[in-house]
Amino acid sequence: MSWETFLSAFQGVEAALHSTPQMVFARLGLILLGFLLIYLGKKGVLEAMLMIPMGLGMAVINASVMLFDPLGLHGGLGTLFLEAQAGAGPDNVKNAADLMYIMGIDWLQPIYSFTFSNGLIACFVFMGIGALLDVGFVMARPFLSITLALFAELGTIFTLPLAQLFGYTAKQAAAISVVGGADGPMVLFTSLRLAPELFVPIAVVAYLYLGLAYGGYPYLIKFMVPGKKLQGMPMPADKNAKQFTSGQKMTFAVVACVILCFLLPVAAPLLFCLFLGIVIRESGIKQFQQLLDGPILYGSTMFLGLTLGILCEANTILDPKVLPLLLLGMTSLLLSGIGGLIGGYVCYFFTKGKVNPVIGIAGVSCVPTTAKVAQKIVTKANPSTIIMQYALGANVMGVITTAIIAGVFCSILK
Amino acid sequence: MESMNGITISFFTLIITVIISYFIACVIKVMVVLLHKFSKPEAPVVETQSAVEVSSDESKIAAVIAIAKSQK
Repeated sequence: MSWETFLSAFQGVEAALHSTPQMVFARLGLILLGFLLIYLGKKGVLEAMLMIPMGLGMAVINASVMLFDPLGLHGGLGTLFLEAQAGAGPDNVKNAADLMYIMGIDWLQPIYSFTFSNGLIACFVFMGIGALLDVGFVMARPFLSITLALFAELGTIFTLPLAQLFGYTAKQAAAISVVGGADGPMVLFTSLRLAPELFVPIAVVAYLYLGLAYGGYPYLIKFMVPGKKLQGMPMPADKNAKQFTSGQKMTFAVVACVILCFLLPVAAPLLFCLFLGIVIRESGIKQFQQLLDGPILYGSTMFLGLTLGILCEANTILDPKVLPLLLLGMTSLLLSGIGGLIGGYVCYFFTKGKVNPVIGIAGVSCVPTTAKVAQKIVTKANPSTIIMQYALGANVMGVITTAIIAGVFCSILK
Repeated sequence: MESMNGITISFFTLIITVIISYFIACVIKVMVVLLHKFSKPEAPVVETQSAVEVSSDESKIAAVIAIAKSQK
């Protein structure tokens, strides 16, 4: 038996021997990063629902590389999980047989092609998020919520020119800057529209950092809002705040959905899905609500995390075009967090100390993570202070402002 | 528009976003006034659990959301 025959029994080892040392170390690094994400997800430092499937996917995909490259895209190496570039060039699909071959090339290929690369999974997640949102918080304080949400778009606005300095085109830079909106489905949607060639790395970077935001934003809050007294500052009960009926919330959602879709038809699919979730929640159709905020939301989130992890193969991550994305994504989210807290301070000074500046972080539209982060910090500083209703208002409005920005980008850069 | 530089695109986007956002806020305000004026009183709906379960302190956060809603 020859050495090659013996090696072919251990295809992982064989693939490692066929790879450059840099690639082997990169794969090892990504496997370790996958382990770390699983550990931090389990510990609650990062979003467990996203990080555990993503970490496992990342570790496994980099361990499962073998001599398999039927489309000749990766120098003879590949996996049996997913081929993100399958069908990327029109030459790859000449007839129905080619299409069927590509669709069934790997086990996750149909999920990627039919839900991921067309934005359907983003729409599903938005339906689920909509079913969890209580628009009553926005209706009670629309101007406070919108002001905080607008300040929290600082990262989105500043990252665009910054990304152009790194050599990205205006469309690519806009797609990258939407990471600052901290809204995963919106990032998927915008990158598919504006920069499909960067869709995979932008999506991976965005979700990686969105997970990290859960662990990182508390430190930013503690740095920018020093002192337990200010952090735990109680907000006076809003005497004007009204209790809204489900019918009123539903009427608002229907009208807002139609107006926003009229103003921004490019973002209409996502806006529609978000408001569909809200309308179903308020309609009282429990069966539909349970479908959206249960199987659809959690099923989509699990496959989203898993697919993103699977996409974190060393070949994709080590692309020279991707490395600046790591820096730009982090800058964008950091600036948005800073902007949100500046917004919190602006509202604090304008209302003469009635607004706790910590709620500014909730303007970053990572629903409901940033609202929970704000409440967590406030509760630690002063257990009797409740700011959740204000934070959720800013959070919901954050989703809407990110959708508006994404719609404007898609409209003016078409 | 793609030939414009990033700063111009960002500025333009910011202006449009601010206008649309505050327009939406105004629409909400008007709607709230109209809804309260013209809608019949309705028994408040018992809200469903609205938190995504992700961390160990989930029950505390859920309790806070419930208290927050009751304070509105």
